[in-house]
Amino acid sequence: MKRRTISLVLLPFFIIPVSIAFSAELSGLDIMTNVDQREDGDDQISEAVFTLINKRGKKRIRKTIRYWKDYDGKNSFDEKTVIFFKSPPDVKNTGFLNWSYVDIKKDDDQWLYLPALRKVRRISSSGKEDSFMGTDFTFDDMGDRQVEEDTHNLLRSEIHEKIDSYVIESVPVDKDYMYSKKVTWLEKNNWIDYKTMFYDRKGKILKTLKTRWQMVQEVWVPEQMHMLNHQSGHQTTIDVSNVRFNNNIKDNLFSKKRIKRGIKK
Amino acid sequence: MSTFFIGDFISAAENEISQINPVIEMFKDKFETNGYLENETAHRVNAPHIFPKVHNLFQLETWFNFSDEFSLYGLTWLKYDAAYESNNYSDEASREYKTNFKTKDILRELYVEGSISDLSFRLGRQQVIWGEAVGLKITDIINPQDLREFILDDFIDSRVPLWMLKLEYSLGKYDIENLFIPDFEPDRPAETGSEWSLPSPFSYPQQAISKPGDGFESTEIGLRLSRFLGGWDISSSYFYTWDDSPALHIKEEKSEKKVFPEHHRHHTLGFTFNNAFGKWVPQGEFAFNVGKFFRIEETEVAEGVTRKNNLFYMTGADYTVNDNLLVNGQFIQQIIFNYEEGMIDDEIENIFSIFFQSNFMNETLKPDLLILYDANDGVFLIRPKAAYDLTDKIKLTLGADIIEGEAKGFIGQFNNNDRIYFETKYSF
Repeated sequence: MKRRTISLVLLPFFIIPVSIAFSAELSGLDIMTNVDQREDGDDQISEAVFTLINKRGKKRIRKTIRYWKDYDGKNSFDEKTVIFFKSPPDVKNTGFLNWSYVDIKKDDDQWLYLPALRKVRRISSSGKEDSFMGTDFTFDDMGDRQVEEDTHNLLRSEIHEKIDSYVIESVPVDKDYMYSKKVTWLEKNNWIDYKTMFYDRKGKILKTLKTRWQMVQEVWVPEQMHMLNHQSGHQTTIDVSNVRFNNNIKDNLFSKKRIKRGIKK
Repeated sequence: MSTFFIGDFISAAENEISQINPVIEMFKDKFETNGYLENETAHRVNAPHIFPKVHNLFQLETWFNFSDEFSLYGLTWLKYDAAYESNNYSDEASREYKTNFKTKDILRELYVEGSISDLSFRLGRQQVIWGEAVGLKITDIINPQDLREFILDDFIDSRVPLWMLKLEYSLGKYDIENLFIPDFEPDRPAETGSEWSLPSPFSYPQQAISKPGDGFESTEIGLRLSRFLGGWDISSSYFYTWDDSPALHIKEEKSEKKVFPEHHRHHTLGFTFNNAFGKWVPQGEFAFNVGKFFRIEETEVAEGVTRKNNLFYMTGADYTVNDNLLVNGQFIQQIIFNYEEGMIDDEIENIFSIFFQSNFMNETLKPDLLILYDANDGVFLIRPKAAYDLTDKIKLTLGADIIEGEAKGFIGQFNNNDRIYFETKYSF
């Protein structure tokens, strides 16, 4: 059950074994590869509350439930994900379906069910730099990024916010990417990333992500993530709850036919 | 003494309630509701400068979930259009329409649905949506259409739900959908006197519409096979249907020519496809209609109608420009085979459409623009719209429907009906 995609900034979608051995000799790439190859269960169900706050302090709330299943290469699939929206009322039962593949060159296949149209629409999966649901997180921020898409450098070890940490700089291979670099603080004891700073194409600080973690079924998952966009003043908090692993989720949940039916209470 | 009695009573009542409470809690847990209250007000740009639509709608959706896999769904509408009070609809038909309008869709949808393993069913009054096209219906013909606002109303609101059984299951890599529809309903034309009503093309008196009889005669049957193949979503379908618009037969009765509207059977074979290549999502939709009636100039041998096969199709693509802009372009064509001189429709009709969808302010402000161009008649339908989420529950929408071009053809006939509109929607 090794994941091939990585993000240091994803939702509940992150799970990190408590005890991964590390060495002072590790490079930035080694560290990221270790995180990438962590054990993460067969499937996962989690709920999330997205709180979007504009610079005037006005809040908007989105509630979701997410189903994820690891296919581990079966029929060339890496993983499948379904996200149902529970609120606000005018988007309730909107369903998002994603199939990702072992072949990292192959784009994900994605569909969106819109209750307002009662139609499943095929959507382009190229928009990894696009905002996820109007939040300050992009699809890439949410976990779609591959290790090989960045060059990772271990900048230093330091005590940061009273935590013994690695500081890693990740520079995208693609120079046209939306970020010129990311700098991530990882807790050495358990490989948890608790802070990431994102820089725009001009090298100016764009966003800061801070993550608080919780232990569920012996693995670490984010409990709360807070992303602040320094340039727009907009911010998003994601509170994750009811995380459950290894639920034996049926394959037919991850289908166009199924997302039309929404999710029951 | 009386205090003791009241206290006793309250205590007994509390005891009863505490016993009922778990039942209430259990049912509360199984019930879900969702809905909205909406006002849509439109104003005519051209004279007469009236408000042809002051539509107020209360929609309530309710689910009762027997289990994770079985539920009962109901959608009710309470509606009132104040325009009917101010506009002068003088004849009996329009007065009747006005009276019926408020109560027509109180029980708009009602069905039970469930699934057992890979088989799922939905039984009851419902909408079924097939197809890929934006802004036009090609294989999306399962439900008839309410033409109260021509083709300008949201399709989700203008489809007329039908009583039917829908079965879905998988066979190997194919998903199969079966429809059994014992409930025939025709399109609902706009009421007489409405600005969207279609005037009769004939001066002859019109007889009552001949509809299919009850029972099996009226039944429609649909079958759709779809699968995912090498990145392509493809589907093929067959629909044994009644034309929801009646053919207008001209016949002589007692030496007087009269119009006899009659619904006819035809067959529709459908095919759709889509895929995603980076920022592009190409898509297509085809409907081949067998034995559909078209209008033709009246002659001694023709009753003003003729039966033909036709192909109606769309090819197009979505293109995601960036996070804030999606563009959809479509080419739509209708071809009538074995075309005859005197037919009213053109042998080949071409329509082009382009749709821009955007969002700003973290998806709080969502403008979009649809432009349809009827190339045969040289007519544009231009539909700009901007929706703003004032809060999570309140949405404001400002838009316009503009028809530019000569007063002819399917769209152009309404070129004097340009309107701007404003919608306020409270969702709960």
